[in-house]
Amino acid sequence: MARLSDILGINARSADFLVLNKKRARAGADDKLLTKEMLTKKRIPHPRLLGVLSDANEVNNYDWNKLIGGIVIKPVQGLGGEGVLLARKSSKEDGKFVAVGGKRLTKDDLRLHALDIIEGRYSHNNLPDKAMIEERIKIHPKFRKMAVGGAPDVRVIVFNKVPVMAMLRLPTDESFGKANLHQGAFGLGIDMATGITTYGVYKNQGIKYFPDTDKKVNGILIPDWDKLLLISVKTQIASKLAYLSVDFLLDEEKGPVVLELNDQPGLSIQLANMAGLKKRLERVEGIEVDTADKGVRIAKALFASEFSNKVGPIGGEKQVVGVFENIGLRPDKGRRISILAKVDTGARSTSIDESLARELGLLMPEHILWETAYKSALGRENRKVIQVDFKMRGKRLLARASVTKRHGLRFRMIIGRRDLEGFLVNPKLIKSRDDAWKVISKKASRVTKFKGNRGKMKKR
Amino acid sequence: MLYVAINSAVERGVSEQTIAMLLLFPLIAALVTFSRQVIGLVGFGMLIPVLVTAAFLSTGVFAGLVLFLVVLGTATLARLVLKKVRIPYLPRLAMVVWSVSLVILLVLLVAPNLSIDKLASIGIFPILLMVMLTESFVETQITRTWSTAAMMTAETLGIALLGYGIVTMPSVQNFALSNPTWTVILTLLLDYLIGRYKGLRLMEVWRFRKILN
Repeated sequence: MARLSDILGINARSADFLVLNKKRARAGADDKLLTKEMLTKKRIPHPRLLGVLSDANEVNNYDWNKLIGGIVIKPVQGLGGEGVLLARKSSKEDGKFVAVGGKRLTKDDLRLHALDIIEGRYSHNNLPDKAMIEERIKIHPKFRKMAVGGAPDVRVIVFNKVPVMAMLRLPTDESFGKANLHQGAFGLGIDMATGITTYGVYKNQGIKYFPDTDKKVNGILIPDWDKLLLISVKTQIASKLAYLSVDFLLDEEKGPVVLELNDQPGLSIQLANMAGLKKRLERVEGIEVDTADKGVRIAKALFASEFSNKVGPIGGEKQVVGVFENIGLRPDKGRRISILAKVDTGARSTSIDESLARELGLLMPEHILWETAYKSALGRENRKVIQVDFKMRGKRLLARASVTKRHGLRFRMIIGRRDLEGFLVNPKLIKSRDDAWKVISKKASRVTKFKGNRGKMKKR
Repeated sequence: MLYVAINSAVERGVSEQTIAMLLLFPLIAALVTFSRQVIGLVGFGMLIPVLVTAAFLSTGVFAGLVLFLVVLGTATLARLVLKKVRIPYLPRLAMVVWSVSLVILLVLLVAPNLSIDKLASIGIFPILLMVMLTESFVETQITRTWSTAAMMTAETLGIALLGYGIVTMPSVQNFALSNPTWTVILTLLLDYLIGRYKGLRLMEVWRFRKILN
């Protein structure tokens, strides 16, 4: 898969990449309060800060009762998730808290923990530190069952304004709700183009399934992936670090929020992705990237995994359609049938041939949205508007279609502007798409079939 | 130049052994660097492996190993016992050093009776060096896991034994004494070359072997 020279080791990380991080920028990443200040200034979403305790006096005077919901107490200068206490206010007992795993905590326990932090128990070289209290995010519903005790986080390594590698970290029982790999969390590699997980690592070993389950580690889609990548680049620009990892939590309402920065991210992310980081870093080195958006686009183009082009559009990505598109139209009953439709930006709304709609059972009352009277060259007519459910280029659309008499016309369905919002129309794609032509020839036979049917219907 | 100066110093009474060691200690430091940068062993930094080598040099391997194991065993035991005493880090470490010293004293008192002469004749400096090792060992046990500490201890011991083996080789000592200038320059060059090595460490190749297939 990868060659020896593709992999980033500790020596090359220090010599080629960590040296690029300026001392001042590093200080900003190591101090979580400075990081928060920077994020606030740049309007980058992050968990809300509830309080900072810098000495014993402040700890004793702090009003713990005013805290609501989930809280996190952590050292401002902490490393590797040490000294992070996750708790939730007890709903049953007043003034009590519950830690991850169900252990009851009193206010005194929280105070003691804050004092430990201030005395420097978790800081580098045991220097005095500050304790900060942060609100706990609401875990995205998708991950509630996957992550034990704590919140999963997504780590993105950014270099030269391009996200180069990413990993989803899921806390386990033994990691006590923390997402740090060396504390026993799962690390899942993520495809940069789609945001779908690929491989997994657990205790430095590659895994395909979550231990003791038949659940695969691949195929999990990270919600708001594009937004997350964009924020990661914006964060790098704001941090002034050349090489860093941005750690995100996924909030149910706010989406991706930046938890912390790391100017010396670990190398296990390579195992989780089964790919070498050095090669990726070398590929983006020296590229001129002027905007965050461009950096994201470069990452998606360069680091797409093989499966990514088989995945349909995700999120805000627009699919390119030609003039003729083969769509999957859902009849009243049964499976979707394939129909060649014309993409027509000259028409406002989608329309469907009356006989086709009748054949598919779409003229039954439950499909009809309303009827409109309109004037045409033929005088006053009543036109039905029905709801159609079709798939085009992998995207499912629920559209309203007016029912018209289109017999004798080549296309029995027209996709109008109103339903083309999620697509880009390339007018040059007329002949180049093999499948479109195959479908046209198929359609020729189908037209005769339909004609036959229509004949029968007339007889009836 | 250096050769002439060394010869005249030896004639005036400076120990040849001391000069050989001074020339070769940087080589042990280079060995420690090599094991970290190229092989990927962690060990206890630079000082401890070099100190343990020095201790081995003055006590011999057998007595040195006994001393090493006694010190580490006592330190671990003492730490486990003192875990329950809630006092700050430094006083607690002082208590560990206290117990280590006491146990070594006991060993020295018992050694002549068991006719282990080598242990009985150990000087104070190797003993002090070993006692100072306690701090690093205890700190690793506290800040990392016990297995990491054991691993690092084994690696330190390995490097120290290897260093001892190289430095005591007569051919190496003779080369250093007869080509002192070259010894010094080559050691420096070796340090520089190791420092320039940016490839994967041997342990990393093992760690990432799954990706490499």
